[in-house]
Amino acid sequence: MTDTIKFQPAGRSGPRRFVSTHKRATVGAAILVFMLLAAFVGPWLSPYAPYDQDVLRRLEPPSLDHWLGTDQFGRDVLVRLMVGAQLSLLIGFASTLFAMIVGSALGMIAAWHGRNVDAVIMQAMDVLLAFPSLLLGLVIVAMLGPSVTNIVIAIGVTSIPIFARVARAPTIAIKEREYIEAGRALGYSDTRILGGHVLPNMLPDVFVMAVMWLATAIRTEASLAFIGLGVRPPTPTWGGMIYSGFENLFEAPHLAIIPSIAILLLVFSITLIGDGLRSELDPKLRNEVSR
Amino acid sequence: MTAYLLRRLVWGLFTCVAVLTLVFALLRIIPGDPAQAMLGDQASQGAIEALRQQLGLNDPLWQQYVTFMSGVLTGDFGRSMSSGQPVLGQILAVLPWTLELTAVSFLIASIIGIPLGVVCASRQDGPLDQALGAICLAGISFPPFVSAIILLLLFSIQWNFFPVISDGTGSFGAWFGAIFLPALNLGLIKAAYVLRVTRSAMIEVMNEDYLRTGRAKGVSPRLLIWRHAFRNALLPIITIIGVYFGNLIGNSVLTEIVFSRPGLGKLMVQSLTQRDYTMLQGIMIFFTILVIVVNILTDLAYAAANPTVKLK
Repeated sequence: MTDTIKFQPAGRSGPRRFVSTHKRATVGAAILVFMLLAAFVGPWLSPYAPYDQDVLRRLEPPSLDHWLGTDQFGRDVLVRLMVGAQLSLLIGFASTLFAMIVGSALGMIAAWHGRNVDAVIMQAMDVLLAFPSLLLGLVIVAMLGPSVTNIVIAIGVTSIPIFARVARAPTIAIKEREYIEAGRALGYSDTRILGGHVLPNMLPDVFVMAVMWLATAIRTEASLAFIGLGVRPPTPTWGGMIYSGFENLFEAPHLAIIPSIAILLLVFSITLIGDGLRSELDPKLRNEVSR
Repeated sequence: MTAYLLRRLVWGLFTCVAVLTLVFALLRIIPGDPAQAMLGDQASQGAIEALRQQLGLNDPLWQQYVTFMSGVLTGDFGRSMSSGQPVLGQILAVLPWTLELTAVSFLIASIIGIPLGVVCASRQDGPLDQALGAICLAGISFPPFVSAIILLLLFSIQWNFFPVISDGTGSFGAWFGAIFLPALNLGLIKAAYVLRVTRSAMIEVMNEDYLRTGRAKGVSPRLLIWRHAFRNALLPIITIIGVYFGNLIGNSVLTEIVFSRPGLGKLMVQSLTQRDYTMLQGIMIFFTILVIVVNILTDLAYAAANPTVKLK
């Protein structure tokens, strides 16, 4: 995979070629940028605060005052949605990063040492993979308590095996290459070879996987919050908003629909980007499954 | 074949033991006293002590481990902390609901996903393929509870096609009305995965030499695709069904909650709100064993579908 020769149409290179050949990924990136702006700039522009209650204006449909309506406590849905996005993104990025670092390190170490080390690490990964990930996350959060850190750990742990597998395969291939042998002959330490020479070669694979898993992580966070294991109320989380909207489904369906659309857009945009990056990395893999 | 089967079983057994050990450890690495954590901050010292006694937390660790493992082996997953009933019995009571939902959604996913995947592969990069590809990405993006709420809003509340809540007993119509929407919800998401796998597997197979030979011999495209290519593409499709089984369970849990359907999902959420940790632990053990069994069955189905597969 690291040996692929990349052909580029004449006259076009870099980002511009990516945009023209990956329309879907570009659309995804545009949506993501919009959502990032809404999440981190939006709340400053809103006249409302996410915790301001207005009991006289409960469960109102979208209006000029409240663009996306109000919830069961009369809080502005739009500002809660934007603040909730920060949390979704934060937990998504942090847990993916955590899984990426721990998982790739384990995968590289397993491949590098081979034999028993490999067997033990990968068997452990298989065991971890045997747990249905939502259940594992759920039990971890239920036991540790629903704080941001614990949710990050819970979601991260469930995706470690994926990164271990992704990192392991290229490491096995790379470690037989001449330049690695040269490094060894020069007396470089394992850490130096792994970090300086193996890691850069497999980074694209790991990175693409990370983008795909970011979408999953955000979805898992929302699922946990929907079950009631999200960051505690009144902190707005999308899953939590959908759940409380679900309880008022007959009176005010917009409460469930609006955060649902938001979450769908965010996950969809990241999936589009991941899919585009992946086909860029290896055209043969195009349209293969991702979880 | 027998040797392979044995090896798979031993592997499965090993994984089970490892997973059980992990579950056992999970309850004991919680910072602080698990009994305290289970009963909450307001619990009296006496209640905590009683629970410690009941959970055997005062015994030495190895003894707790042996008791736990032998319990699981003999089908004793402990008693629910809220109802006092055996955990396994309660799980088995709701299991048929979840299995039924899973089976019907698999059926829907295969009926939609496999033919469309084959069609996409045979018209690779055409407009239909492009459109379905985008739809699939959207399908994969749907958190199951979001799509469930949308289906519920549209079909049950807006159009009144299906009851919002139904126990699904009495007639086929009632059963169908109760299961259709939840199964459709799971099936559609799953169909997106099945379609993508079917498509890429078919494309891979269709580049094989023997298919070119077939074409050159004048075999009709339909026969070529369904008889010659599809049978070989079946392998990855079977694998995917096994691999995503764990995923499907998580999705079923969420779907059951939205549609207020009895099942493992509802049982789990109920035990979460009641802080019923023995029940949660039992559900986790049960699911994990289920996933491992399904993995082994998948491997066997894989071998059965393709006799050329050398079972290593």
